[in-house]
Amino acid sequence: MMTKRRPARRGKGCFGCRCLELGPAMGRWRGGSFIAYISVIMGRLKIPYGIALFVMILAAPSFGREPKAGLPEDLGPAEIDVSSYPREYRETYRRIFLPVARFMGGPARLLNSPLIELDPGLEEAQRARRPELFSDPRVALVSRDGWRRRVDEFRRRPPCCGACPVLSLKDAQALWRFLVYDSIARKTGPRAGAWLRHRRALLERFEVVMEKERIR
Amino acid sequence: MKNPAPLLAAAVLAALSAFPPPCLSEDVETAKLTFAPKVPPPVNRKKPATVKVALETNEVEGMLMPGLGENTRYQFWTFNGRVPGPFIRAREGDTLELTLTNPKTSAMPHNIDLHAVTGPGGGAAVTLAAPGETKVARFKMLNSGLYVYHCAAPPVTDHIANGMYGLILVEPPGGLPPADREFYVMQSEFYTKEEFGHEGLVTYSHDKALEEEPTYVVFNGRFGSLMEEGSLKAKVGEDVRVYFGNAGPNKISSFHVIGAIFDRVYREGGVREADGGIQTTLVPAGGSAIVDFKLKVPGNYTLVDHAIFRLEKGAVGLLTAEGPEAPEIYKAVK
Repeated sequence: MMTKRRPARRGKGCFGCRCLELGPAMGRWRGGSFIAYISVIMGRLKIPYGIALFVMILAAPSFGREPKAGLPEDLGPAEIDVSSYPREYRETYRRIFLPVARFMGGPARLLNSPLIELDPGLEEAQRARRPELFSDPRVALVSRDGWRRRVDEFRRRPPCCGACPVLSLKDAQALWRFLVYDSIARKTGPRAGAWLRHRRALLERFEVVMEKERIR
Repeated sequence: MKNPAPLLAAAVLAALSAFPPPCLSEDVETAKLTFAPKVPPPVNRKKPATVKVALETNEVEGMLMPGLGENTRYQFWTFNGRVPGPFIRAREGDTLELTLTNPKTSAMPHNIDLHAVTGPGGGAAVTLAAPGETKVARFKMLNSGLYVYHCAAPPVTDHIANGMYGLILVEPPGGLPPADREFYVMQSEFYTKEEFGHEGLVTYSHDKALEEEPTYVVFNGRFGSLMEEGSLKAKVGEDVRVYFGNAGPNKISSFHVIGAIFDRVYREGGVREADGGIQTTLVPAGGSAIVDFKLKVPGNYTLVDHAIFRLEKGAVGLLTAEGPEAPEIYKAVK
């Protein structure tokens, strides 16, 4: 009989399935071998259930594969640390960005986007100090109104089904300001180097993923 | 004859009774005009009257679309300062006494063509007013229905394209079936040289209008007019009526309310008979429709032109219904 235990934490070796809720022992076996996991499952469960679970694990679409990605940015993190941001932007991140981002391609797509919106003065300063930001638009795409256009585009699609968020003008303005601030904070100035490395890594990883998809 | 006065008076009265001017045989009232989305109250009159309507043509700069940084502004040509122009409500058999004033500050002549009027130009021929002029005309409302009116001064294309239109309802003698809420919604297109969403002042593009490629397709004269604080409000259980006009100037509208099925549609503004159970109704450029539907479930109902990409250009509005849930009609199970 299965007893409901405290769910194990996800980590290396996690298959992302309910079997990890079967016992704390499973959680300790991070990095454990696949056979060991299955042995425990089949030992604890009745054999037919174990066999069924075994088949399900093999069939699981995410088993051993990279997450699905339409763009390189989808492979990057879906969250950022905004604790050092001004209060207005922390609020916007929590209240507007995270709920709305799901409908704009996902938070990863926005947070890892190469887009950087700069006004003319800032653009001139960055050209002088960080010319590498302007060398490859796939890595860093500097624009005068890129984020405004993205937010405007989303604002033009009001809800028809009642399930999607309504972006009021005020919220749209707040979201735009946040995206502009965030892109300057994380992608320019002293953090430009780290950003460029991150983008290049995403692009390389995306190539690998696409190659695997082509072979499959 | 010692005193001809009584005889003279009798003769005058006899003559007047043979050809009575409207002001003596009918009541005279001033039309209550409202701006979209509001509608004047029903005409509760059992007999025709002379209805006075005063319109002024104004060229005004206004907001076409609220912007994130700066609003998109446009130089509108208007009736009474707003797009669309005021909603006029009269009754079949009424005499509409229309006073059209074109201020001295106008840049061009204007007039008015009311589709409710029988006669040359729909009234345009007798109302052409140069800047500084006022014209007065009387028109008998021979046919009931919901009609578009617009400026027809040459070039009529530009005058419509820049915002000079509105709706006039001529009620049938018994009136229309009662409705709890009535709304005035008018779809129209704007053609600008600048791209969609350009912040700042934008200018009319005759070339785009000729190509019939609108930059904006909006309800009630601007992007988002029926969203956020402009959204329509009603209650569950109420009968809602939308007087919907399509000023064009080019596109046909496929008017639909997401979440509602029209209980009655007076197609193309004709009020003699109505169809029921309609999901989407075609409204030609220069045409109208009256749609009735009952709100049975609370929530948001979205008004759209179902040529659906136009909602990204502004052809979308919200009607919020408040009231008790109706799980027997609409319920999430899982």
